[in-house]
Amino acid sequence: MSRRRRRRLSLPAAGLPRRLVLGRVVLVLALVAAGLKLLAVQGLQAAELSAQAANQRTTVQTLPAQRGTITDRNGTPLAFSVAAEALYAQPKRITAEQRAVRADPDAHKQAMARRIAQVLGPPVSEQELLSKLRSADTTVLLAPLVTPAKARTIQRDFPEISAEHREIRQYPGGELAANVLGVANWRADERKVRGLVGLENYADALLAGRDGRRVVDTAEGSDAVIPGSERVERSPVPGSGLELTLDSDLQFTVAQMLGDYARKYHAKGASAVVLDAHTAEVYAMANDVTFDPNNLAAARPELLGNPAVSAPFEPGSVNKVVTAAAAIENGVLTPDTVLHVPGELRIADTTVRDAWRHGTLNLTFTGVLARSSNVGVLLTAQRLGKDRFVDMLTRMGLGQRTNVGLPGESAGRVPPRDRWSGSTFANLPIGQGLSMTVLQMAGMYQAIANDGLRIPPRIVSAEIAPDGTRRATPRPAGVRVVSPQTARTVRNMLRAVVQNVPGQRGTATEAALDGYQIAAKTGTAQQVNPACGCYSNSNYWITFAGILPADAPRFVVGIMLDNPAVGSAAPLFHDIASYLAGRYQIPLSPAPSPVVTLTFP
Amino acid sequence: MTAPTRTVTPMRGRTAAPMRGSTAVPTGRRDTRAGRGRSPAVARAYARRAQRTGARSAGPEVGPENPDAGRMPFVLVVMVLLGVALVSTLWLSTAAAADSYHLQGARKVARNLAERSENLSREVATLETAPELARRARELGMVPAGNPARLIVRPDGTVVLVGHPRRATAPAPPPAAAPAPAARPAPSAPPRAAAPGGRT
Repeated sequence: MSRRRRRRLSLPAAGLPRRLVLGRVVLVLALVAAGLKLLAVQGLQAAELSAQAANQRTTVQTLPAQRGTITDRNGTPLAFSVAAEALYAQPKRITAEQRAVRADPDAHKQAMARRIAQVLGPPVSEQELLSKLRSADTTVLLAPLVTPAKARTIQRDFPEISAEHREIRQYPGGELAANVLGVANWRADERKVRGLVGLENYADALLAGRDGRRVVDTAEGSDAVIPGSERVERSPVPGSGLELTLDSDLQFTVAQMLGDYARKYHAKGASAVVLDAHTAEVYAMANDVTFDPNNLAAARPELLGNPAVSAPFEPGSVNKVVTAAAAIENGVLTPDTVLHVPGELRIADTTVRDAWRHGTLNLTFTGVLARSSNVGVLLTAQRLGKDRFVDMLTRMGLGQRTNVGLPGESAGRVPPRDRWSGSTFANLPIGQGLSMTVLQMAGMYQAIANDGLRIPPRIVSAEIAPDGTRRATPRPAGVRVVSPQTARTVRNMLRAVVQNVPGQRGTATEAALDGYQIAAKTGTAQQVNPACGCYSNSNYWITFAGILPADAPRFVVGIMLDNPAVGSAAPLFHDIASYLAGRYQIPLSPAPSPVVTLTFP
Repeated sequence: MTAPTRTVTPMRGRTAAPMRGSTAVPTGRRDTRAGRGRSPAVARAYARRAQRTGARSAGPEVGPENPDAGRMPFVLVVMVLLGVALVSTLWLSTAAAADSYHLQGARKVARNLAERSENLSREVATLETAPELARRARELGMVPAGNPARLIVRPDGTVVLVGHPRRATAPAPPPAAAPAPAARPAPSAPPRAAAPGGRT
């Protein structure tokens, strides 16, 4: 027993071989060391190591947002974006890779050039591609704008060609409404399409949208995306679209008619605007010269603007509507009041004459307007008084921007009341000494057409949100210019301008349109001669404003020609009015304009 | 563990027992002796001890064999559970990966269709713009109509002609290049109808 006990007693104490104890200690120490390291890695360095790993692995990709589409009032697209790819190659790398597999780099490059030229078609030349591939550059651009499908086809055959996302802005109408739309182009630095001029620039923030971000995991050293590892951090927000008040067909027709007329009479410039009589929406806004936004490189920089809103001019006799409206409104005169109008009038230091030499005539007030007698209008203005005249100028919106929604809009210029000289009041009523844009000019007549309520014109009808909801731009508040009766009276007076009765002819008989009552006003304004600082006798602005039809107005047309070899824009108005009547199926006026007496013997 | 175990019964507090001769088994396999061919002396020693420790002694004798037999199903259950977990994890992750490939394929199809649709609508948009229609109409030999005469149909059925019907004439083709402003001929007579009065 004791032997066993002794054995038993000695076994635990010294019976175990020393190496076993040592082994046990070593293992325990190893375990402790591993445990400590585990704690250190998991506890202390965990965040840093995870971050490093994530860094190696994650790639942030930008999800491009597509730019909004601009359409006309009928939904016809005027500007839209299309996705494209740009193809790049790295010639040196291709050479190195080919040499690594002991293939002929040049043969490979030739095969590449041939295949790319085959896929992309005629404009791309195989020789040019080959010379690019053979060049010593690090990276070469093979093709700037390629449809994504073709880019994929090429990349399937040649994975070493990289494709970069691009967006092209297309303008299907070409020059149609280009002055209004402006142009947007691809910016390589921002990797986005941005507006350059016009509405594309003015409303860029709305149209551009916001790019999204996508985080993917890629294998170290390659671009291969690990499937299932995509996380979209932020979805792209596409740009909102814009619906304009323009009517493409009318815009095209007006632009063409205006361009033809301006070219025929060698005008230095021309602008025209068509407004809806009641809502003042801009149905058409055209200039004689325009550009093709699809081909920006070929456009002359001076043509990129929009003179219809940015180039003011002196209106001439179309401004006589201000005096007429104020005189009727304030009861100074009635349409039938007979005025004794001399052939010339001396005011302060200037003598004002009419366009035709005459002695003292007995003109009705209607006749003064229809014949466009400067002297008659000045006599009326003197009876009206400066204050009431200035008040009407302001109400008509002159000297103030219309805020139509286009960039570069000019407010025109009206000399402030306290700076008037003696002859200012001899100039303003007949439309010299102040300036306005064709939009402001049309706006005056829109007030007369809309029973005295002037609505500031607008060009953007609605915003279309990315999800398709349409948000109409709020209607601007109207400005009460004259009472409805006054507006109707003035409109009726202006019908006489197109009257074509022997001995009682107005200045714009060519503007008459069979079946419709037309109210209109012609204008001729002397341009300033910079050499002498005085008014030129050979350079004129020819202006015109018309309301169709006068009895139930639908449209207002304003036209300006810069120094044409013709004295009137009435035939142009006739053509535009005829087109309007047909396009919008305007019902004929119930009766022709009554004949009024302009001159009494 | 290859080190010799000394603690034989952690649960039953038989601290003194292992020191006794019969139960001090160096290899720790207690069950070699338990319940298998004991010598009478050994059996008597067991019985005496059983009496001393009371009912509890019956347990330990049965104990050594029961935990092992009772643990078998438990171990099996755990193994089965682990197996199931492993298989299901593998299956789920394979399914997710497979789904992501399906998703890629579906996305590709959707993208191709969207591109085609975009191409087509772009073509249509270009073809139906006013300038394009005008050009094609011109090519067909059509001319802009000009100002038409209009017909009014009265309620009693009579038709009234308003205006003068005229044959449409083809407009003169625009000049190839816009004439420079300097080429404008100086007007020989003042523009008709509306020159304002002169200034002195």
